[in-house]
Amino acid sequence: MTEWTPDASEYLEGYLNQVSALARNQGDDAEEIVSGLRDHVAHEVGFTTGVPVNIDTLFEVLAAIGTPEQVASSETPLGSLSQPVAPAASAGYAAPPPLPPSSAPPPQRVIVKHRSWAGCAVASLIFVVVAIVLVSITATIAAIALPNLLRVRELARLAACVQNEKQMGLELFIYANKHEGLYPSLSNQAGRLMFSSNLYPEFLSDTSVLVCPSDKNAPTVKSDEEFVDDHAYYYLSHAITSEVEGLA
Amino acid sequence: MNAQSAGIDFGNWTTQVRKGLLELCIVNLLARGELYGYDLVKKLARVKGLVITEGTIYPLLSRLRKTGLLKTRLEESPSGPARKYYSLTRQGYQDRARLNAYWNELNLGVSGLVEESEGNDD
Repeated sequence: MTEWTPDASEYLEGYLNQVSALARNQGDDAEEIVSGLRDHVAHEVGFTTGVPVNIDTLFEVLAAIGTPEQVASSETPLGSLSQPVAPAASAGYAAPPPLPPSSAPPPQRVIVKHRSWAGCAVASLIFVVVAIVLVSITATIAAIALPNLLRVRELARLAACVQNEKQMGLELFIYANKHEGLYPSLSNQAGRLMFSSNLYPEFLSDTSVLVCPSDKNAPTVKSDEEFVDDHAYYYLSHAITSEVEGLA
Repeated sequence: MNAQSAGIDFGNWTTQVRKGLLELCIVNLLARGELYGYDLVKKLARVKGLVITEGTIYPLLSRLRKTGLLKTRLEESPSGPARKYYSLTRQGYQDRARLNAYWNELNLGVSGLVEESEGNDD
């Protein structure tokens, strides 16, 4: 069996594949033709072992055999003879036939276009202008929308505050109804004018109503008892002018 | 320069003459007995003036086999892959006789004309 160098083997297979494809297109028995050619090539290079046949030797052999197009010539059996025969070929010139196409696609040519300095500057300028415009639009929309949003939230807090006061008033009325029309007694300590301890928890179950949500100085939430002691004042602050002076 | 002043296209003319002769050569080579494909190609390549491209013989042999003029058989070879031997069928022998008859007649007529023409030149 003939041994080939890898490149020679690859070239021969490509050559035979091309012949096979052309022969098949013409309705010929591609397998028989390729088998004959393979055998012919092996005879030409000799059935040697140990020394692989290189591609130069293969080129010489294929030059005598002909290109795949010549071998698989169409229409008449002698169609290939209609092609001019180079004198050198008949004289044993070993011009290599054209390399059959490889199974792998040819590498794509990458065309790199270089932009001019002016082109780069213009592109950068356009990018910067577009970026500025976008940032400006975003900032304008935010400036318009944010105050409105804050105002809406504050209005909601105030509404909740009014609702809390209503609730407190209702609880005071309920207390008075149960205590012969008397309201809860107040503390006589300045700054701690409390009556909420008299309401909690029987009449005042939800201590959060004691704080106006709009109050920025509202303390953090504690237990209900502490909350009642410390923050009933905030509710009463609506009715007093000063922590020191007591009731207005 | 026009075509008339360039003279005859010798390459094209010889190609036209050779057309068809290859089949004649093959059937006559095989009439002596079966031949291994490679040997057949090498014998054809030695025919003077035929000027073949060796690879073109294999498609031709395949077509002649398909048309029924040739038959093949495989024989194991100690030095390589199995060898394919070609030989003429009955139809091949009959067609060979017709081809040879025509060729002999044509050859005779054309040779006589050429000899007559060359004799006049002397």
